[in-house]
Amino acid sequence: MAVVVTIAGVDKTSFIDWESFSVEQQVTNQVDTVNFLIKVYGTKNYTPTKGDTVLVTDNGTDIFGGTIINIQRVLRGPMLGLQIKAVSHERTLDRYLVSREITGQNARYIINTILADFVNRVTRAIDSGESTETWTQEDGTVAATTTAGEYVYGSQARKFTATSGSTATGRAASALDLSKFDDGSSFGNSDYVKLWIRVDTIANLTSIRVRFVSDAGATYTNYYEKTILAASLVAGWNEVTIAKSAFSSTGSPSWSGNLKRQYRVTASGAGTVNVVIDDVRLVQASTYFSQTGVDDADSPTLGSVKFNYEQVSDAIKQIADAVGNDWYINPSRVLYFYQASGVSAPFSLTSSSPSVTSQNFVWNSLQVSDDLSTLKNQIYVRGGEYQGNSSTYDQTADGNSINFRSPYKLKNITIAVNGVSKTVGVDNLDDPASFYALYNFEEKNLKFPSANKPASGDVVRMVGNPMIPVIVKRGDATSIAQYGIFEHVVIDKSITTLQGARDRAAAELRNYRNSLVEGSFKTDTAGLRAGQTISINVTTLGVNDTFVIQTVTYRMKSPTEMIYECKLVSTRSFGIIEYLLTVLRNERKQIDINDSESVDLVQDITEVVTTADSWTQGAQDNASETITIGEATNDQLNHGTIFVLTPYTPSGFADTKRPFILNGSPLG
Amino acid sequence: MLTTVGKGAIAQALGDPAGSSRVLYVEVGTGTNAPALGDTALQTPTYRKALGSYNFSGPVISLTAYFNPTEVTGTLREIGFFIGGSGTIGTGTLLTRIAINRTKTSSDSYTFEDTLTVS
Repeated sequence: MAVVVTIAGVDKTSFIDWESFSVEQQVTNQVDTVNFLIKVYGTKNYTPTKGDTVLVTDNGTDIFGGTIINIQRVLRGPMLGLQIKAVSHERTLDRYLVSREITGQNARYIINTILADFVNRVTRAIDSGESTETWTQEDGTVAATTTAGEYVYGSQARKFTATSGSTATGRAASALDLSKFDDGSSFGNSDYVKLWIRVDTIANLTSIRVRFVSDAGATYTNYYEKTILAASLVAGWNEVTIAKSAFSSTGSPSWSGNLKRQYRVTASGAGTVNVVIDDVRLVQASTYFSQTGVDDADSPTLGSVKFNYEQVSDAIKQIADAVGNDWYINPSRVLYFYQASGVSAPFSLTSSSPSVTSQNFVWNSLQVSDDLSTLKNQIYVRGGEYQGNSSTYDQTADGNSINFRSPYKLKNITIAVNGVSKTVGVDNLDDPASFYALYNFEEKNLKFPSANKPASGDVVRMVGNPMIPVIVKRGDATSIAQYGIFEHVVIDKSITTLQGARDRAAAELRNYRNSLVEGSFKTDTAGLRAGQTISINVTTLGVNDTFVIQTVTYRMKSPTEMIYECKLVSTRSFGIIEYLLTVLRNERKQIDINDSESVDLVQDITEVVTTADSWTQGAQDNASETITIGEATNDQLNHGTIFVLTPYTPSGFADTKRPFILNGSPLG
Repeated sequence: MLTTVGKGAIAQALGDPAGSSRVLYVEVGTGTNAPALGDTALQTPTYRKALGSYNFSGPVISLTAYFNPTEVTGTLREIGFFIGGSGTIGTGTLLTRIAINRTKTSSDSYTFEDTLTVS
C-alpha cells in the first residue's frame, strides 16, 4: 500500500490491520500519535516491543517518526490482537529538563544552547571560537566575533573574511581524541561532524574546507578533509552535518590523535565574503536532533529567558511564544521552528459559486466558524524584578522612628546620617552590635537600634540599586478600534528585563489580536501536514482567507488509500491539553530563583578494584591469598562540607561533617 | 587467612599519619581516557590540593576531597588520590583514578568521597 510502516527498521506493513490505522499529527509541542492493530495468528505472529522505533511514510513522504509506548493485548474473535500506540519524538525531547537563564540572545542561540547542552548528549565538543581556544590565522583575516547574532553558542565565534578570489584560513590547535564521544561510545562512520556556518553574501563564497589534522604546528601531512560547496549553503546560518565516512584522508591521519582543525574559506571573484564558524562538535547520528528546519529565528533579540527545570518541549514552546512562531519535530528528528505563515500547503481549497464541484476537498466536509472568545488586544506583562541604576533615597527623621522604609528593595545598600557614612548589616543575619543599622531586603526596611536612633531633623540617606518590578502594557490599536478593548495579563517572574516583557506582550498580541476562525475539512489529496498554511476560497461558504492547519489525522479509507482530516485556525487556539500545560508552566514561573542559588548536582559512582596478591605454597610452605578492595564513590556540588575536630565518624555521605586534617582541610 | 583486624590495618595504613602509605593529595583534571590499571598519573591534571578528610571504620576508609568555589572551575573529567608526594602536580603514587563529569563554576563547592573496603 501507499503507506509503509517500518518498526525497528523493518517493513511490517503487511502485519497491520489497515482499518485500525491512523496517524494524528499536531503542530506545537503536543505529540503526534499513531495507532494500529496487529492481529496475531498462525505463522503471522509478529510482536513488536515497547520502545521500538516506528516510521510511517505516505507515498514516500515521512509523516510520523517516534517510538512505541503502549501495547495493549485484546481479543479479536479467536485471535490475539495487539493494539499499538506510538508517539513522536517530542516525547523523546521531554526526557530532559532545562535549567538555564539566557539574556540578550535570539531564538536561534537559545534553541541551539538547549539542544547542545541538554538534548544531544552523545557528543564531543571540538571548537566553538571561544577565547580559551588557541587559534592561528594562516591567511586572510580570522578573528573572534562577539557581535550579537554572529555566534550561536558560548560568547563568541570565529569570523573568516576572505577578499575576492582569495582565501581566509585559520587553525585551532588542541589535542583531541575524536574516535569516541564523551560517554565513551565510538564515533562511527555514519555519525557526524556538526558545525554552524554563517555566510553574509552567499554569491561571494566558493567553498569552505575543513581539515582534521594529526600533525602539530603548521604541518599538514596527515589529515581528513571535506570541502563544503557554496551551493549547499544559504545566506545566514547553516547547520552543517558531515558524515565521518564523507571525509577523504591524506597520509596516515588518526581520529584519536587529532592535534588541530584547519578551516579555509574561499571567496569567489564576486567580492568579499564573511563566514562565521561556531560550535563544531561530534554528534551521534542515531540520537541527534538537528535544527535545519529552524527558520526566522535570528530576530528579535529576547530580553531574557529563564527555564526552571522545564521540559525541553516546554522550553522551546516558550521561545516560540515569545517570538510568535510555531514549531514541531519531524519524523527524522529535525526541529522546525518558523513563522506560522511561513510554510504553505502544496495546494489550496477553491470553488466558485454556484458550483459544488470542489477542488482538493470532500465537499460537505468543509466548515468554518468565527468567534471572539480568544481575542486579546491589550496585554499586561508582570515579570520579576530587574536591578536599576544606583539611586539615592533621603528621609528626614522625626526623632521617634527607628524604622525607615525604602521604596524598593535595595541591593548594594550604603547608608549615611546627616552625610556621615554608617555601617549597615543584614537584618536577621548580622550581629546588631557590630553595625550602626541593619537592612531587611525583603521588607525594604532600615532598622536602627535605640542607641543609634536618628534625632528629629536628621537626614537618613540610603543609596543602592533598586530592584524594580517589570511591568509592561502594550495594545494593538487596529484590533482595539475594530473590537474594543480585550485585556489580558501575563504573569511570569522569569521575565527580568523590560525588553523581555515587551517581546512577550508583542508575541501575545500577534497571536490573539484577531477573532478566531476555526474550521475543518477532509481531503484525499496527500501532502498536507500540521503547521502549514492553506488558502481557502469557497464562494458558497463566503470564505476567502488563509488558515493554519492545526492537526491532520490520517486514516485509511481502503487498504491502499488514505483520507486526511484537517483542523484549521486563523490564529492561535488553545486546546484543553495546551491550556493545562500553560497552567502548569505558569505555576513554575512563579518560582523565584535567588541570584546566589547554585545547582546541586549529585552523582554516585561505584567502582570495584580487585587487587590480587598471590604466592605459591609448595615445598617452601608458601601460601596464596586474595585481597579484594571494594571502592565506592560519592560526589556532590555544594555539599556543604563542615570540617570538625576528630574523632568523628560521619554517619554517611549525607552527613556533611568530616574530620579535620592539619595541613589538609581548608581553614577558610 | 587474612584476618579482620589485618584488613582494618591495611585500610588504615592509607590514612596513617606516621606511615609511608598515607594518602596526602588529590588531583582533578580534564582527561577523558577511561581509567586503566596502568595509570600512574591523571591524563590531564589541572589542580592538586591536600586531602580534605579521612575516616576509618574497621576495614573501611573514606577519603574526602573538598574544593571550595574559588579553587578550580570548569568541566572536571577525572579525579585521583595520591599516596605521598608533595604539592606539585604528578608527585606521589596514584592510588586510584576515577572518571567524573562535573561542571563546576566559581559559585559551586565540590565534595568527592572515595570509600575503600578491604575484604
